[in-house]
Amino acid sequence: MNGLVKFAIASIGGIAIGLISAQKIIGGYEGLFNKTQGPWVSWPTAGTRSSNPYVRAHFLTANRLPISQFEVNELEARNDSNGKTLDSDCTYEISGPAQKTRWWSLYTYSSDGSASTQNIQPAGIGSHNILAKPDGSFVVKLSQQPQTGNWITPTKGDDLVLVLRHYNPAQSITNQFNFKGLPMIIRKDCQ
Amino acid sequence: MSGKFFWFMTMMIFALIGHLAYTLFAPRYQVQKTFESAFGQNPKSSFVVLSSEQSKALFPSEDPNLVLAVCPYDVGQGQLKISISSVSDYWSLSIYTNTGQSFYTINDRQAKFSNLSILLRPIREKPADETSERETALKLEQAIINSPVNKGWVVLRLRAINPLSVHNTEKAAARFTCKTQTQ
Repeated sequence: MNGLVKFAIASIGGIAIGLISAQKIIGGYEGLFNKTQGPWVSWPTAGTRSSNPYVRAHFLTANRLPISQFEVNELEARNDSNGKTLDSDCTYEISGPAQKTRWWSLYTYSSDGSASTQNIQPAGIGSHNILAKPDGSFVVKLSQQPQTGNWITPTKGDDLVLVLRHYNPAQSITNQFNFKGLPMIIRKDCQ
Repeated sequence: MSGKFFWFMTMMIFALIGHLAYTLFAPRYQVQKTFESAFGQNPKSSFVVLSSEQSKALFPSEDPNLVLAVCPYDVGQGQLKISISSVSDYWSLSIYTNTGQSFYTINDRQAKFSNLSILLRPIREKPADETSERETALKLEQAIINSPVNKGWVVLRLRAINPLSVHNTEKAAARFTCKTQTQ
């Protein structure tokens, strides 16, 4: 094999390794710059001066503007509470206690970052319109099929991302990255 | 140096170049392309309130409960004065560099004065940390913020919790102003 072919293999292979490793870290799969609590993943330094290029890239490559965790605590879930990847053909029950925050929202997005728009039923819900129990706890059904109570729908056929946003979260959450009390995501049945 | 080791090191150097180029430049290129296609390269003298369709197109992963308004700035042309009006519901204002790094955020609860103004100027000294700038805004009716770069965007987020309130929220966003003060 002559030198030119070896150089081509080394350069193309090297760039491919570089791109894949960057995407893995930016996607959060390596857990280097994010925090995990159950299925929920948070990027604590997002939107601060101390955020590094990987954290910024995580948000910007998805056309999301990072914002300080003290303002909005954004949590992402790509798996259910048992570690299985979220599937738009399955029904999920998302349940949790009252969230310690000024207000919150929970939305489903497809893997390319866009919100579900093709359904009549909304792709998200929040503290302003959820039917909660007197103690503030709640249950939300995520499903393509009609559900009783709080019901949101994903875009059919896409990989799912759930984004939970706590606006002006309690200091007990942001100071210690203490995310106890986050909703559980339980898979019920699949089509 | 053996031949295999040489080519392995060559591959690793290219891997490093690819890794750094993707991490450092791809997000920067993407955010600049998004903003410049929407707002142009020149600074504006007011906030541009995005319709829900524009928000979905530009920032598909943003919270649909929010109305977004953007003011591109260039403090190289003069200090930017941002005037904040009293709005009853939730709002937050974040200032970003043109690489997408947020360096200042304030919300309706922190801005206790009904008519708070923020003066954004080029950095001339070591920047105060984020907390002390927030505290300054709590105590004074005018906060002075040092921008680490000349160009960037001020992004205003206002809550509009249902379609009926979107119009009112857009009107409220129009009461926030940003204006370059030429010397």
